[in-house]
Amino acid sequence: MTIAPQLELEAVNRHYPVKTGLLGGLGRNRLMVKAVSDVSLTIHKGEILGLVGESGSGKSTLGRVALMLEPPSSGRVRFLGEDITGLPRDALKHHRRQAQMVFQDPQSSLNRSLSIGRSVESPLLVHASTLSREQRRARVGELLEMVGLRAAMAGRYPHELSGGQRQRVGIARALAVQPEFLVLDEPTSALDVSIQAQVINLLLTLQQDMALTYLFISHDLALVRWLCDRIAVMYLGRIVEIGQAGDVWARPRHPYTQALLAATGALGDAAHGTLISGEAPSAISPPTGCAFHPRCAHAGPRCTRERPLLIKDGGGEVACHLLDGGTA
Amino acid sequence: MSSGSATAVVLVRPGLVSRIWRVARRDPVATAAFVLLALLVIVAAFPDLFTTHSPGRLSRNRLAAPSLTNLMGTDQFGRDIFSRCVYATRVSLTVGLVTVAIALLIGVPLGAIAGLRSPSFTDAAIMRVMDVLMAFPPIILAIAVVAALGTKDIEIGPFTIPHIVKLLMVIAMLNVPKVARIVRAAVLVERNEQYVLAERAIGSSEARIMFVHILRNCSSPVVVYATLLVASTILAEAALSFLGLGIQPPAPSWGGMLADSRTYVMSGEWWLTVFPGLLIFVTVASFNLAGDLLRDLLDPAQISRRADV
Amino acid sequence: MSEGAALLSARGVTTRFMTEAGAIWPSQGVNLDIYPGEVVGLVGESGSGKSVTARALARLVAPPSALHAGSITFQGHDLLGLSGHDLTEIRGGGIAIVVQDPAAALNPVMTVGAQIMRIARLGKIDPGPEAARRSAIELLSRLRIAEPERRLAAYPHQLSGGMKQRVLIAMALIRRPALLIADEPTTALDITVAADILALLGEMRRDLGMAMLLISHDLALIAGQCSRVAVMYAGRIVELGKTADVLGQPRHPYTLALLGSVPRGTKADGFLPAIPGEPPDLARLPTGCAFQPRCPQASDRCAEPQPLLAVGPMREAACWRASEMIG
Repeated sequence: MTIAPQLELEAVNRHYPVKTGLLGGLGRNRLMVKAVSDVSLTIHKGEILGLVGESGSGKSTLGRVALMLEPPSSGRVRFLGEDITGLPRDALKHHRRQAQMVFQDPQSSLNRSLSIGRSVESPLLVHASTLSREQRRARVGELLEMVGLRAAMAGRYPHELSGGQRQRVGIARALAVQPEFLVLDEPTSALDVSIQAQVINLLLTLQQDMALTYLFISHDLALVRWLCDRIAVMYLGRIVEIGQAGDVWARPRHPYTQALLAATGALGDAAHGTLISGEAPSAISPPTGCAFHPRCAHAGPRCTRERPLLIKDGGGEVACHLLDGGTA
Repeated sequence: MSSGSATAVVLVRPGLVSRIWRVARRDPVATAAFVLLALLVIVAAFPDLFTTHSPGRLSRNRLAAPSLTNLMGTDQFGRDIFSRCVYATRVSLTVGLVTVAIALLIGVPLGAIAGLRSPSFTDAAIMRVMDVLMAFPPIILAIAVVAALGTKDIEIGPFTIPHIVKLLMVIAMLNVPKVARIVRAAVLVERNEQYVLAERAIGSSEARIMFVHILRNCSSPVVVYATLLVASTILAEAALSFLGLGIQPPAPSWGGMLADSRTYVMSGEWWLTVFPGLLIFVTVASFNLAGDLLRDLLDPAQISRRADV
Repeated sequence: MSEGAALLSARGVTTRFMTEAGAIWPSQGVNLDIYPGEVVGLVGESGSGKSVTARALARLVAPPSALHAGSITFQGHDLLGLSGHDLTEIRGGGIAIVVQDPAAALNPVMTVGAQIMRIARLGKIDPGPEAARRSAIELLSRLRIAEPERRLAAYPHQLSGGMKQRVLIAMALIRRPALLIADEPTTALDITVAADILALLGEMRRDLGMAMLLISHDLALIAGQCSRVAVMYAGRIVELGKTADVLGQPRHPYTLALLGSVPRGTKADGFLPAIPGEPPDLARLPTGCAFQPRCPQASDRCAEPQPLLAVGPMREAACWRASEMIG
């Protein structure tokens, strides 16, 4: 690829202390949740990268780290080649103008006591303080119309809107300061399919019209395949497979990706592919070696000892001992 | 899709009048309580407009039953009970509203800081101090303060601290931890809402997030609790005055009037006890009921209006 | 499937939900038969009334909702005429329900064992604590829960989401109901766990010879699990038939549009065929077809009420164009 990278993550870790007890967070020897472990990822300008995983996979945390909403415990985040990891507050504020986020729950992501117009106006107050009141309001009207709402709806409150309309407001707010990069954290998982289709179409139109770059986080492999150019699959804080969307869908290489696909199919037609049983272990004490080995049908002794690294395979990269020439 | 000409945009909530009307129609009892409170506040602000007698004026007309000249009768010194009740309203409401205002002024920031910083040393330190304050039995503490400082006004250099101010401060301090706890709990819930993260992603300052967003959404539990606190403070003041530790005679207070009437409870002069007692009851009940109404008025989801603009 | 008597037969089931703005009607005149051993899907989007309707079938609607009209026959009993013990006997013993959110459906201060055993002993014939415990352990191990004896002593917060859902299924199945109403049983779960739970549910259903009403918004799930499906829109069943027929050859424009909006293929194939507009406000439904404002094929005739009419063998649709929609 010769296209300039929009965002690069380099060996990013994000660990949190587990909250325990009365004076939680004060002790020294506390347990850590390893939400994101050693993730390196490049998002190219103008592409839509899908980040797929189940709950607890660390996909949402990774999205927040990419926007520096949470600092990585270690590793680097670069935006357009510039290291933003150690940026001071005011420089980070300037960066926020270029990178924005759309949230999962359109109910909780809007302040319920502000009219939707005030919510959309909020980024303008922070980043475009030279605008007059009238200019701001005109811009709010434009933004609402851009996402398919009516400007006259600005005085309404979130509870007066449907879920799909609220998510449109969330998108308008993210676009208010004309960012070039958006993290979309499960933007349609709270919506009905017919409304999901509307919102996804809107997101695609906006991306094409404004040459935006998206990091699209989802648990829905079929949706990610539809919308995204590349797919990265996360399991317990690590990327286990990444590749062109078509390749990952048609030829999944990692056993976990295969299981995800099988489950997607199994919900449709029973007994198709290899279903896995059990649930993902805790991210506080992930299994040794390959974190997927306790649920993996192909796991061998090597998988319990040695952590597989992401290696090039076909057009993408996969972290599995079965594919690095050796045996499991 | 977007068109060049943007329509003028209205960013205001539905009119206050229409909201009040909507809420009032739904909850007539609470509304009646609210109106009654408004009336009491007016009475307390302009007692002269309502009284026919001076509250302290003695007369030979002792222990007179209610009549047109003395609406609530007279007490053992021949003072007009109606006038005394009116002035006592002023005292009680002042004590209730001022102490709760002080408690809010101190408790809201403390609770907000504790909630925002939780878990941290700051949070733990603030809340443990609050726990200690909560552990004081209020009446005993008030007795101790009065015992230590007396019921007289205190003079420090050129300043005079009236007894009632001492009382206000003691009651207010005891209310601070209750307010702080409510605020902290509400902040702990609100700070995890996604709109807070959304504001961070926008680049809003922490101060803006705290005041424009988090505290605004915490306001309804706090306001409801504050009205309940006013009611309990009025009761506490009445109890202290009844014990002779609060408002000092001859100044009128509901609790003090009840204390004075003790000897007449059995002898048939019912008006001495019934009117101040009734006022305490009605005022406290009204504050309790009005809290619900305020919550409905503050919460936009309660004033749902699906008018198509 | 139509041979023999229906296990559950609902006629004209209408539920009412009181709001400040007036009554809304989450289900309006729903007719549905469920035969022994079959799996019927009830599919619809949020606000379609599918959950309330399903609960009404077990007489489980609680205020401010109420069963307003209709009749429900279960195993020959008039369900609406039952009360007290007889009703308790039917609920759990005859009809059991599994709800969407396993975290909220379990009592946090009781061990899961106590919760399962309490239900086991609710019926007319109490098996006693020992037998109840044995059958709980047996059921948990059939639900592939490791160390079932130890799990009985666990509290809900000690279990994962998938484990809680298994416990809820155990609670529903312990009295061997003839009909299981599963209301979005896997929506709250991860997809790999959901697939596992569904497979398990299917296995148990076959073993017990139980019928199931599966409520879901997920067409793929319905397609894989159900022999017949009812599609609900705005409180009414708009299409009913064998799953393969309904999802393969929809005879109602809503079913067709809903199927279309599921992402299949890639964006290179063009935009997703979304359904324009929003689901209707149940408080102010039009007199005619409720889907008409969003329907690409609407015409004047849609302003008239559209009853659910037979359009083929075991096939009903509520659209006057249904016969035109073949092929």
